[in-house]
Amino acid sequence: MLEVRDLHAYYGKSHILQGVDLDVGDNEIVSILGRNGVGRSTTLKAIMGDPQPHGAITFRGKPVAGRKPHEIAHMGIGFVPEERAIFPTLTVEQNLLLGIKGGQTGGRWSIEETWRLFPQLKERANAPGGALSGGEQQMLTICRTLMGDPDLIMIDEPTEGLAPQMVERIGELLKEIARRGISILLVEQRLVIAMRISHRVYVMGHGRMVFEGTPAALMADEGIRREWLEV
Amino acid sequence: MLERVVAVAALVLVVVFSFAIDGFATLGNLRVILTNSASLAILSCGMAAVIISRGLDLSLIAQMIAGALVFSFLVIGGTSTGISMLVALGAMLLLGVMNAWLIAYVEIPAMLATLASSMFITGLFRNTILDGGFMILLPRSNPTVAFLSGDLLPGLSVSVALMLVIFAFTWLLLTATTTGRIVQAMGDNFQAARLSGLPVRTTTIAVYVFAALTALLAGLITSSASGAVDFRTVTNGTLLFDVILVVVLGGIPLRGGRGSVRNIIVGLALIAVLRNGMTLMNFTTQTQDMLKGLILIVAIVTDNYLNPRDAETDTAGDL
Ligand SMILES: Nc1ncnc2c1ncn2[C@@H]1O[C@H](COP(=O)(O)OP(=O)(O)OP(=O)(O)O)[C@@H](O)[C@H]1O
Ligand SMILES: [Mg+2]
Repeated sequence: MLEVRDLHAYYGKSHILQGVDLDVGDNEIVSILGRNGVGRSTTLKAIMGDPQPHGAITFRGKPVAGRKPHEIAHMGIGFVPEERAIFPTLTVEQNLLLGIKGGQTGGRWSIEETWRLFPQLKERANAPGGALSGGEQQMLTICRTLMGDPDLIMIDEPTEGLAPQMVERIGELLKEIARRGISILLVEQRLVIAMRISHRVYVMGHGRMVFEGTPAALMADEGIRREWLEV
Repeated sequence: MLERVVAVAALVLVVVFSFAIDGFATLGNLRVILTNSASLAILSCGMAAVIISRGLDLSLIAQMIAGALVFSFLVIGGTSTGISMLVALGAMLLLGVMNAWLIAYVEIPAMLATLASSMFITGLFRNTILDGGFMILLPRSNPTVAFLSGDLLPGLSVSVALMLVIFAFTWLLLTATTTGRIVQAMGDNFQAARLSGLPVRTTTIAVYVFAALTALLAGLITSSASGAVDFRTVTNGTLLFDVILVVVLGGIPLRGGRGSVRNIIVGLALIAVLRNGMTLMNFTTQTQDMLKGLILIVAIVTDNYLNPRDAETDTAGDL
């Protein structure tokens, strides 16, 4: 579904991504692991077109690199960035409605569905997004992105800074998303969650991938874990 | 919050002026206030939309005069009113797109981009159309000019009617359209709006073109009323200041994200009443400017006091 070949990206003069290769298949949950600052977020952002990607990115056979973020979103890639990407003064409901793309008809996900899965969002439908807790804001962002009916959703550290109970709920949400046939590309710091739900994992070193395989294979590869994951 | 304070201040002023100034609390004076405020109100709608999207249009007044100039120049030269209007609309479309292009594509900060385009527009139009002069006179006999400076119904001038139409249109735009929601989202969290795939660039174009169109309308109303198109309106700077004053006093934060027609009406009420009262009391323009400047500072300080900026609201916008 998503194919990334020899992806390079720069912030100013610093060469952040130095030849990233990455694949996500249909109905697949793929995680990118790695230490802070190796370029995991930059990988997702470059796929989204900002910073500008150099290299080949194709999504369902169509080239992605060189397009603008909203065109890429229209092709069917949803992106949930690391920073809480809610609109704080818009209401919860308005936040969700903004996820629907111009010209879109129907979708695998609806506002009713969001309310059903997250009654606490429904209760606060008319509250400003900024008044939600961190975990609720994270769910709101994910649900808003789903409203645009993506075929692939890229989520950057959804559980960062959340209480264990909230982490569980996010984990459930991710499985629910996958059940609808939406592929997931996840950047996750918590190994446990990533290992439990992913079909395949990548480990990222400085600007490139240093491991690709199943969670079981990663568990077995002590060298990689020691060199690239454990502190 | 600031909105409420300003609404109360406007009411207090009305009461004080009614007692202190002969001829303030009359129906006739109310009509004068409304008619004199129509173009300020229309410009404020354009500016408000731009500011809510986290932009700023310092070229609004230059566009206003340029648009009126194009129309008047053609009409004086014998072109039909309809064609002149179409050409003026086309010119405004170009100016709006130019601003939006500088801001959304070249990514120049809005303040600098529109400051530059304001000077560019003023220079360009004065050189090419006015031969370096400041103004041209408008023929009062032209049907459009006569219409715009006249009454629609007894007691309702055309300019006030147009103001109400623009209020209604702006209200619909901001509350009932997807574009309006995207405008708010851009001011609320620009980075998120961009990365979540909202069409921020096309929306920027829409917003600056809307501002340019309000400028044209305000320009036509003002020049029809005064019988002249005068670039000194741009260079003396007071009108631009008043527009920003209306928006800020109404409670629309300069960093964008929220704001409605109600805010514009509240800010306008204070400025319109104040301008009228000060004029009736024969204050010099210098005194008026000084007072308005003080009010703006008080408003900003009050706003900071009422809505203290904490870490959350600070970063929510400019990630
Ligand atoms: N906007 C930016 N401008 C300049 N440099 C940046 C910018 N964003 C990230 N970087 C740099 O790029 C490198 C990779 O950043 P990135 O955010 O992709 O890391 P990451 O793997 O997601 O780590 P984490 O999210 O845990 O910090 C870092 O060295 C960072 O300092
Ligand atoms: Mg990151």
